[in-house]
Amino acid sequence: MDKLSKPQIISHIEKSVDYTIFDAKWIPCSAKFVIMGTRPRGTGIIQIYEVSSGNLSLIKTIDKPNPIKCGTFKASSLRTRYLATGDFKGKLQLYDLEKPSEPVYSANAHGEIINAIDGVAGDSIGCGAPEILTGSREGSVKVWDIRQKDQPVATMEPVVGGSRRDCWTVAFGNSYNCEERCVTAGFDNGDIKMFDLRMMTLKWETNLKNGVCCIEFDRRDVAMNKLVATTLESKLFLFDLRTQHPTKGFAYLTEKAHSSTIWLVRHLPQNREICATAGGNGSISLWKYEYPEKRYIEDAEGIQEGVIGSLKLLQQSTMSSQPVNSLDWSPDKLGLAVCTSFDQCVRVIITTKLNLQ
Amino acid sequence: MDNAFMLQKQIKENSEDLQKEFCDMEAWEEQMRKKDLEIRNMKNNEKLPAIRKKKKKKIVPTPDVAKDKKPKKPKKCNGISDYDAWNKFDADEACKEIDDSNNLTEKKGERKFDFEVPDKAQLEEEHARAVTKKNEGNDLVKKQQYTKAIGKYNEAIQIFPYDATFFANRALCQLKINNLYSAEGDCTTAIQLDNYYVKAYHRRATVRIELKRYTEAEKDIEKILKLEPSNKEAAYMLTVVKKKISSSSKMMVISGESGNEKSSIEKVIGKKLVCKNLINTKLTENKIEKTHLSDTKDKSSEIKGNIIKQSNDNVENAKDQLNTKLKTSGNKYAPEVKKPNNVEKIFINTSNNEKLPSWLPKCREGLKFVQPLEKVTERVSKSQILRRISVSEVLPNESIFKDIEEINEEKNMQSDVENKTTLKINNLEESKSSENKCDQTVQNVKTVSTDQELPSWLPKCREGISIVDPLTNTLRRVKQTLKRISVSEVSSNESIFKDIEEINEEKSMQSDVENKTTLKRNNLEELKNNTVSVKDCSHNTNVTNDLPPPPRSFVEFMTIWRKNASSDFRHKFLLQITPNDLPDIFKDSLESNLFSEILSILNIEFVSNNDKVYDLLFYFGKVKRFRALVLFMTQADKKALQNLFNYCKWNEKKTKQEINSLRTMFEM
Repeated sequence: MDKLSKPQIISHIEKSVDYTIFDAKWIPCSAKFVIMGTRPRGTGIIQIYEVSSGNLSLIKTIDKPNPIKCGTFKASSLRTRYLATGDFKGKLQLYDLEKPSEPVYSANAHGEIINAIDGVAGDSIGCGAPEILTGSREGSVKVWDIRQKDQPVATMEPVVGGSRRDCWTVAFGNSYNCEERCVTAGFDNGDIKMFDLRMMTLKWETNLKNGVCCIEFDRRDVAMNKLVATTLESKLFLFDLRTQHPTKGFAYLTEKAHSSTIWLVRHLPQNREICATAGGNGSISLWKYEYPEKRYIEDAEGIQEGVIGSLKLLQQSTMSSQPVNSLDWSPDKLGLAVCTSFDQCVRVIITTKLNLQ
Repeated sequence: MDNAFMLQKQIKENSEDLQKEFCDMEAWEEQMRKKDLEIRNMKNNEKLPAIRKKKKKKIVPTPDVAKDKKPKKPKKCNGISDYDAWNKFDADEACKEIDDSNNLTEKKGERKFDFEVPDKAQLEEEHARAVTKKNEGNDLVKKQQYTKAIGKYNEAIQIFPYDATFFANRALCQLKINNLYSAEGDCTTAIQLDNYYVKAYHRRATVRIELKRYTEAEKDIEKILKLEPSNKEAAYMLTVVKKKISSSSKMMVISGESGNEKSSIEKVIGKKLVCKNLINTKLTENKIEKTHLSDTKDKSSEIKGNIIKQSNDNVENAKDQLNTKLKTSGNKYAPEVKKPNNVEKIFINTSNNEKLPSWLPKCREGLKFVQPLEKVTERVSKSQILRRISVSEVLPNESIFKDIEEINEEKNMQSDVENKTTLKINNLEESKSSENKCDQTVQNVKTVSTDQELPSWLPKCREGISIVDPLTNTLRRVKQTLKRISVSEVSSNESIFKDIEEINEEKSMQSDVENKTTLKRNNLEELKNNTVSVKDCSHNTNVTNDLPPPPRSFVEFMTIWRKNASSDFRHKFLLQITPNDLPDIFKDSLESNLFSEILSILNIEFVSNNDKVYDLLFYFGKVKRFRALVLFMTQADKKALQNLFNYCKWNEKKTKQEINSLRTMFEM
């Protein structure tokens, strides 16, 4: 009864493919999405599907020599809608999906697989230059501007000789004006590092004990507000980034969910207080953050300290028997999302009652 | 009853919701298709890829421009006035940008288009407007209303900031109202826009003489002479300036040339007069320029007359100089005619639009200039400075589990005997606790020393920041292309989640699987509580210092294993692992080649160091899918195993039964 009055997650269309999918992304301003992955023989594949009256129609199949791990449209404008991809060989490539045979931009970004990619400022004005962020197994995180060939515009990498941790996830944030911008990276040993791109310094770091699978700011283009990090061993952390205490850092809360690895978190583009997480048991959870009455308190010395609110589980539903490894909310329609899982299935899901919240 | 009814209602509502959602979907799909098409058409009109290429081209020459002009700025001109010039530049550009964005907020692509390739017709129109403003200003100059004239020139510059003459004329006015620094700044800008602008150099030289910066003035005059070797006036100025330089260096000495009884004050007066004359000539220059613009050669004779008139008004002292000037005034026209040639040259260099009017190359130069100040810019640098901020690792000084210890101890009391006392993560714990006990042991000293190393990245990063000059820092990241921040691990004690750990600990007590680990920890706590000798702890700390902590997962194991291939390191590393953790670490990921590597280490290093291998072998046998591994063992592996069994038998005094169990495990 109670469950029924909450938002419902419904698998609208389901389609199985004959290869492993690693990532799925909606093409902005369209009813189409791309899925990226690897064929059984070890080559890369990008497919474009269109949602049309309850079915998925294949628009295009693009074969690439290397398996593609991740992709994003976030750094390209609405006009171009270039897809930036990171592959198993560490190549960053930008494709025009109209003419995908040759990449618009290509760089040998990393020596090993690019695990995560993010973009910023593609379609928003006044928040800096469009940039692409890549994180790799070799432990380095790089920022790219496609107008500069071959070389990154900023690099964050382990000290020479130090141990190189596998970087699993990266995210842009705090890009609320032309100068400010933050990069956050999560590593396999549970480290989270936040870098300030303007100052080129390490802004904050912490360790979550378990490998950090996914990090996301609630918004890229606002002054940093919240950050959600998901880890192995079914833990989820939410940080309030408004107030940073000199010793205690950011206020945070933690939740257990999915009773397995939480693979990813994705905030709803239409409402930043709602986010979805996907778990290793094939389930998708919908969360809503509720702010505290006061977002900070002052201690005896007058130093501000953040106050964390609460995270409410709205709905949980199991999509697949295998881990859900990617999920993307449609930027154009509330509640519409595409998700993929290791059972070689792509699903278009609809979530109802999201605007009632 | 009521509940059931509500339930039914809810279900009905939900299905209606869903139905509505599906209907919406179809409408939305249609809408998206239209939108998509629109965007695509838009794209076709704009030819975007071309723009990107153009952009790149533009950026490439920027360093050259910088090379040409940058060295001059710091050396020759005053910083403040220079900033003024820059500020003006920026403001104009910003205004333009705002205008553009206001007009075309929705079509930002078009806005870019405008900005990147200035529309020829539009620019021409703007230039024409600006020229009318300038002419108005020139009229005002004739009437000696300099401040108003400056206003007109300002307007002209605002409309069209790429023409050097506007700046040069404004400089003249500034000079007239004794705004020397601004005048200098304007001259500098004019020179930046047009490298061959003799008059701008001339004016700047005059200003600098006025400012008593003779060496800089000398350089300007030399530049004039380079451009126009026949310029006698400049030659004369050069001699004057050189005299000044030598006299200022001598200071007190009165030179014979300056006359019989001229005091230094008189000299100054004389200097001023000279300057006045120079200014006069400048005025005439200005006129010449105007006439040049209106393309009437005939007027040049009139101007000569003008000069004569003005010169008559001048004080007698300067007569000689004037004469020379009169001679040169004829020449002066010649360089003006020359100039276009130069301009053409620049033109060809910059290539592309050969058909554009002569002022356009300047404008393109101007654009290059402005680009750095533009707000949305890429981080392409002129000078490729490698910036590296290295973050070094924070070493664990304190136990992660310190806080939990107490709780654990309590729990430990209840824990059963079945828990095997093992070491796992807890070599660390041990060492740490002992560290606490014996105040400062070796490791403590070591960690302190590494801590001192830690800040090493801090100054570096600050250095990096200080390099960036304030102007560029606020506006763009362009200058600092290759930025690097080095990343290192956050040590676990850095974690802010100490308290979480506590909670987890409690939770894990309830779950069966996790139970083991906590109990293990508890055991360790026990160990800790039992007195650990100082010697032991120092030994332990040494090990932990050199070696990474024992792995908790296969991934960790592999990264460390691959990191250092030396057998000695691997031996130590294997020693660290508690044998009965092996199945946990490897799960089902152990591969045959890795296993044979391990075997060879065991066979060589362990045997030679008299370390125990039985337990290791035994627990390797418990690793999942071990049977598969056994199948793929090579002959060499089997030999090594045989060796190891013998070693166990003789050195570890294992019973035959135990050895046999191993044998069956390894199917030997």
